[in-house]
Amino acid sequence: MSALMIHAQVQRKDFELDVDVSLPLQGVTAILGPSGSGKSTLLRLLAGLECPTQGEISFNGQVWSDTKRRIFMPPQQRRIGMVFQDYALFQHMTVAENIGYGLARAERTQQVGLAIERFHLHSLAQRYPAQLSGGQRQRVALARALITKPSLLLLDEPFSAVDAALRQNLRRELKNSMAAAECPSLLITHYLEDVYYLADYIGVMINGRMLQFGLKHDVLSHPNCKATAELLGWQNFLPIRGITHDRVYGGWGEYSLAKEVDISSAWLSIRAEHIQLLPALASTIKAEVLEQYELGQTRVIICRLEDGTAIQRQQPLLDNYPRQGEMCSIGLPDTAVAILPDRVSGNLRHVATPAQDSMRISNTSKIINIKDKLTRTR
Amino acid sequence: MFDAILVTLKLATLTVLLLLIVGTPLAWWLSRTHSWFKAPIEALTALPLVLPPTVLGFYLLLVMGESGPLGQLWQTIFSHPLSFTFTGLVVASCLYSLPFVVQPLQAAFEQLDRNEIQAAWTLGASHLRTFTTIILPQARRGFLTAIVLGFAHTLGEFGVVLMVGGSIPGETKVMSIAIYEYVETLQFGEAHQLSMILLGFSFLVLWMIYTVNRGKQIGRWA
Repeated sequence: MSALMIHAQVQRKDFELDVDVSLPLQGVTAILGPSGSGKSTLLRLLAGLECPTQGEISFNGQVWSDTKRRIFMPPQQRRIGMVFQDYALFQHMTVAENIGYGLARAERTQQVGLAIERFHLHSLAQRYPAQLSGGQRQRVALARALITKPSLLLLDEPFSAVDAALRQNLRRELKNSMAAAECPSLLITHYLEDVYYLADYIGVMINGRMLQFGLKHDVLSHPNCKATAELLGWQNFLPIRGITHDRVYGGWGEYSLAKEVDISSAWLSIRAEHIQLLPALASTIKAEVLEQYELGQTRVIICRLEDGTAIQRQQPLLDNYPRQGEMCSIGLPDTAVAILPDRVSGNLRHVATPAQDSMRISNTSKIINIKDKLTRTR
Repeated sequence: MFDAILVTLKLATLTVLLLLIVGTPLAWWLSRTHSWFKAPIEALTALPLVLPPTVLGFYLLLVMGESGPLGQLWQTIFSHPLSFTFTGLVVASCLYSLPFVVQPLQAAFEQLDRNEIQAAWTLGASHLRTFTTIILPQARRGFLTAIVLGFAHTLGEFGVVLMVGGSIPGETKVMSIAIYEYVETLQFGEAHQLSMILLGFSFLVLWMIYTVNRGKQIGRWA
């Protein structure tokens, strides 16, 4: 089976990682997570630079590590390419020597020449890494990692060492290079923009757990819990105080469901670009406009609901908008609303049920896709 | 006089070679470990820096002497004593000059970029190739400092040498002891010649180290 199976645990004094996921070996997989979420550790496990405390990692059926059978394949044998966060170029070698390091002497000259051409490094071949810009270093690191024709390319926060202004250019370069290399890639990042621009698949890691994994579009539009949604850029979280068979409600008002929601949900969530600001009496969820400001080509409008929850709407800059102090109401389009638990366990096969004493708890908990299961009856 | 110079050079060369073989893995371990043993081992390694050479020499004589455990073992295996021989002098010198080799190496290893070493592994390089192509070139200043300091320090040994090796011409009589004996017998001219050689060499050595470590430059021999 063409997949990277990871079932690994790492236990340290101050950190615990427990990942159980199967990643497809195609396209670009981005693992998104905040600092300290364990994504770097995961990458190092895959590279063979760390051993799991327990578990098994296999690549395309080939066992890379298995603590039970005491198998550990060292990084030299895994046929991976790795681009380190600081690029880790060999400081005492020229660009050409860096690129050719992973090759046998016989094929070095020819292959390095081709790589230098492909990555537009002609004028830099005899320079040392200290004489290169951030973008040039990234190109050299990528050329060095890809020249050995690896079966998996690992990228550790590839843009954290460069200025924001350079980042988009480098993303474009990286995307082209990865596409040309036809090598499955796994990158870890804490920039949502990297995910939007580069990824085909997304994994979301928080506190050492992979909370969600899937196709980019699925994960972005259907986060499975509040923690994931926050990381994916969802801004509005309305606290749910209770769920009946046909509605969820909170201090902010209520939202009608077509059928019973079998979930211990804590939050009604919607992205800032999907929430609607309607005239005052158009819906039962009332809001007061607190402030508005321009953010590039969009306008951000901050409102306060009746229970004090702050929500925000983002809309095109030139669209009409309510002024500060005005009362309005909130529209929640069915297709854009998600009813979410606080957290899921991180075991992707069984979503946990976080206890909320104010809510009815059910035995089975599912990720609710509001598009399929809820209808608004307002 | 030439005997003393020859013995000294032979002793310093052998001591540095042996210390590089023993000191490199020790320095590597000290630079990487978080073990509880690190502090006591570092302290033991650094002891010759603060201990009077006569104290070290006295205990080495007890251990390496004919009735000492190492001396007896040596006698049993090789059928000749360890103390007051050139071999005994080499063993004592190695212990005495250990910190001058281990500490510069440890400092150099601690400054290595771990990611560069791991990048070499991911590119398929064996540990040996990583050592020769990444670690050695990047820690070369540390190796050079270790070699020069180890060599220079062995040249200047006196107390330990006198205690463990005595003053057997052509065998254990090194330059510093020869100078001492020339002065005792009022041969100031000879003492002066040997002293100038040691003074000049020591100055050149320190000059070289400061030049090498002066600043960071870009390139292969930075």
